[in-house]
Amino acid sequence: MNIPNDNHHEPQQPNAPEGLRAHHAWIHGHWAFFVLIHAAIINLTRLKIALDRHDSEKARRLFEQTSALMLGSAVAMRIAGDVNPESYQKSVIPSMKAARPKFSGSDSSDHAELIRCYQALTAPLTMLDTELTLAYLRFVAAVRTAKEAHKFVCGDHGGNDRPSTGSGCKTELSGVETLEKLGTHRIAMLTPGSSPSRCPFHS
Amino acid sequence: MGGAMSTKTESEYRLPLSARAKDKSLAVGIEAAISPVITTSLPELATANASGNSATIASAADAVIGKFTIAGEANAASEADDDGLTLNFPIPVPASSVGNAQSDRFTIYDGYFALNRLQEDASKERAMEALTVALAVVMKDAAKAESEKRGVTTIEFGLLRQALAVVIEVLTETETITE
Repeated sequence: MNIPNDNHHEPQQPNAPEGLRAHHAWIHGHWAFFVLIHAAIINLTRLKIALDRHDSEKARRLFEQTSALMLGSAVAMRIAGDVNPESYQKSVIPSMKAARPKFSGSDSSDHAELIRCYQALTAPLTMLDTELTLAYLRFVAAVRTAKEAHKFVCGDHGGNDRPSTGSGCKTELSGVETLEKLGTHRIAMLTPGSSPSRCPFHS
Repeated sequence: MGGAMSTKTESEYRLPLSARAKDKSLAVGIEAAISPVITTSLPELATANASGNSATIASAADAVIGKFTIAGEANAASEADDDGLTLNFPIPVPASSVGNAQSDRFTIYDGYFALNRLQEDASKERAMEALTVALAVVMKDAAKAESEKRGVTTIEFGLLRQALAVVIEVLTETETITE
């Protein structure tokens, strides 16, 4: 999430119709994202159980279902960001800064739970049956697509140049660079043999 | 922006959502029979979603939202969407009053995105109700967004419909698993 690095964060209500539309799209696009992430949390919990039980048939179906959910979450991000950049800068960003100067997607409890689900899969994925390889690779590709969609929306709204104040310890990174770091770290959690560091910004 | 902006409070525009820990308990199913309102609503949403027709989806979503008492707020959101510009977005928590504790950040985030999250001790059935209503609201939103023909492509909306179909499958399986 790309937020200008200044100290002005007075609560603001959008007035212009396009500003209202931008807010509507931003919030309702995220609503779709949240519903999909809740379903993903349920499914990833089931996936861990299936992998622990070596139930390959169930695990394959759960991989496939969750891949569809992650691709859908990429579209949800596209809907959220389908607003003109000026409205985003003038209406959406100030409202987020007003809520919290370092407002970030990592402030979402659903996102935190999703990451816990990824972490819980790290061990079972090291013992993945070879017959599940294709379904697993499709799932990782879908997670990568979701990351790219998020980067696309961020970049479309100035995130290639501006820092993300919600990025934790490396605020000199642009919003897009921050999302790349975070996304790569998440995918490393899902990659057998990979040992992601605790902090996405320090290897 | 119509009169709704001036006459409705922001609390009327919240999406019901389960607590995050509850999702993990839903993963192993529901031990007891759940309300027929849920069991009949999910197939109705699935049929409408499969049609790919925006008007059909919106109508089915409205019908489902109307069945649930938890949906009073979502109903208001649904009605408010009709002119597309009536969202009274949440008033942000003043930054000066905000701490950095994780629970504070979660609360602020939920407030910003107008989420009406259930308590952790809410029943699984209540969580299912919340997710079913939230799904219906999102389906209606997506149908409306697709009909506006802005930057998101038809193929992308097709992917979203596939994903929403999976949400319905996931919730339906939650009804039937009794592990």
